[in-house]
Amino acid sequence: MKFTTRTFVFSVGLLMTALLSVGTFAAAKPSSQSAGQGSEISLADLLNPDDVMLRKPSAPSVQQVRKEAEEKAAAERARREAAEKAAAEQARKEAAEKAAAAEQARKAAAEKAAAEKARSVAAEKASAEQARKEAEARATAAEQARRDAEARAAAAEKARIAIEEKAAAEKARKEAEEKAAAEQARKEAEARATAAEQARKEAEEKAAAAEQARKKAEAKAAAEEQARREAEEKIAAEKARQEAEARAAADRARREAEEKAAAEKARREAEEKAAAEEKARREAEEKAAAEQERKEAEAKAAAEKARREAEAKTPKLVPPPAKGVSAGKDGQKEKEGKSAQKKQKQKKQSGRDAVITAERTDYDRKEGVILFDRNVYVDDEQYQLHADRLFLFMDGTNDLKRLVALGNVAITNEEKSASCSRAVYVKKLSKIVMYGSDAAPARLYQGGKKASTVVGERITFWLNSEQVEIEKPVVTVPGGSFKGGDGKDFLKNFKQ
Amino acid sequence: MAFAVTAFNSEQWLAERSDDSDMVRLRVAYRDCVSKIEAPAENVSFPLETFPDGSVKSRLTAARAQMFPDTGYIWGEKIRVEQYKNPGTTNVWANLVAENCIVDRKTKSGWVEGDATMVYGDSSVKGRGIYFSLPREFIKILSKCEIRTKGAKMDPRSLLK
Repeated sequence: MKFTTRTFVFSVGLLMTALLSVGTFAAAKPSSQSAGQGSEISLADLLNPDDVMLRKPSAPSVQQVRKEAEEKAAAERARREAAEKAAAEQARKEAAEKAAAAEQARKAAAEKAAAEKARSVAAEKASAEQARKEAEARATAAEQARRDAEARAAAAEKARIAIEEKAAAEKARKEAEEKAAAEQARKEAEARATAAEQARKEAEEKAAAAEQARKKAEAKAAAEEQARREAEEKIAAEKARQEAEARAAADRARREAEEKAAAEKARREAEEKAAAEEKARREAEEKAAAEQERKEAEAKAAAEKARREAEAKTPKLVPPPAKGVSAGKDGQKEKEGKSAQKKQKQKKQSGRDAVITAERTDYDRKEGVILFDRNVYVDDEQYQLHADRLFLFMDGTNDLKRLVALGNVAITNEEKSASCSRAVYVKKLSKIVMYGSDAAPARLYQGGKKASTVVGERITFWLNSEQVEIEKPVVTVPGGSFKGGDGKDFLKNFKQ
Repeated sequence: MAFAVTAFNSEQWLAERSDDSDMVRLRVAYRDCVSKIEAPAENVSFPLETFPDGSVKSRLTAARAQMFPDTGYIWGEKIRVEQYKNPGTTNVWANLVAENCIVDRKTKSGWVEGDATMVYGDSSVKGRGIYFSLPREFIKILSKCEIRTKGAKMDPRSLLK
């Protein structure tokens, strides 16, 4: 490194300024150690050793060396003192800073304490306020609670009153319900009692009727029971019998048809023969009449001639009427009258409804049974039927299959009547069976001039063959009914 | 024996017929319903049966009617049931008229209080106080029964002809 003169001068100038400053500082604040030596600090002591090296080497004297050493020591001491001072200053500064910091901390602590105190005060105030508020709130709440309690008490009172009222109403309602139930029960009991009374009356009536019927039919009961048993026993055999009867009926019908056909043929032949004979008879009668008329005319002419001749001498003669002709005309008129009456009667019988009346009727469609009970009366244009009971048995198409009349059965038609304890009509067999008993046997009666009676234990009518079968018959007929003693005419009364 | 099984048992039938408990129950219920009538419907009409094509086969009309849901009874007054002969026509062949009636929907049985008349074809049935049960296909007329018909003749060659 090379130094120029100008640089050296500048450096020295700086050094001088520094020394002057240090000297001023030292003069201003002298230390105890350096108080007597301030003026002894040389420039060389303050110079950098390196700068010392810049000095022009010279041969130092001992004095100088000592001085330099002293200066060096002084400088060292000054440096140390300066350093100590600086350290002290630093410590002082630090202490001051610490003090300041402590002061600041104290202040801060004081402020903090004040703040804390203030906060505490504020907190206390707030707490007090809070407590006041809480107290107020508690008071309010207590007031509210008191009010609520009062309201609850009032509500409870009200509720109690309402409950009491409700209880009273409920009690009243229950009482009303009980009353209504009791009333209902009473009504039902009355209704039941009425129904029971009605049923009892009906039962009594029924019992009375049954008793009456029983008394009436007491003698008939055994026979009816026997007949019922017989009927029930015969039900099983009825089927086979029905088939046999059906076959027999068919045979009978066939035979009857053949007989009828033969009879019809014979009748037609007889009618034709009778017609031919009648025709011949009429022709003969006409011829005879013409001859008679001619003879009469001739006789009349002769008589007229004789009358005229003898008119002046003899009285007038009147010829008799022709008896045969007039009688024939009367007979024809009589026949026509009877036919007209018959036709009129037939015409009168057409179209009237049959009426069945009874006190009670049961219709069981499932079983196909109709029961007419008590005072049964059937009013048909052909007959009238009375009975205590009438069963009608229908088939699947609601057509009559069987009819059973029970108890005091009576059938009438104009002058004819029948009575029995039980009558059964089976349509399939075209059969009517009248059952009687010892006390009340089956009975047929015809009034009028030909009054007659047939009584039997059982009377069966075969409608197809017009046959009647009577078991244990007793016949009562007017005198002279048994022409020839065979009794054939008697049954015609019941067949016609 | 098969014939005996299928034969009509008159004693059993009469025993069943004498059971009037259902009829008595309905008669009591009728009086009860009549006492509870409050606001009956008027001029009620609805079909009872229909033909396969959907047209009305029979129709019921009532001047007044009320239903009792708690008991299932239906009460009606001045009832008329008309049954039509052919589908889609109003040609009536059967006509039932009843004064007062109660029907139990549960048992499908009923009681007619007062007079009732049914006319079908050439025949008619009248009566007073009628119990009927549809499941049992049973009708009981308690009094004043009268049946008119043209088909009651036993046979042209009847007993006393």
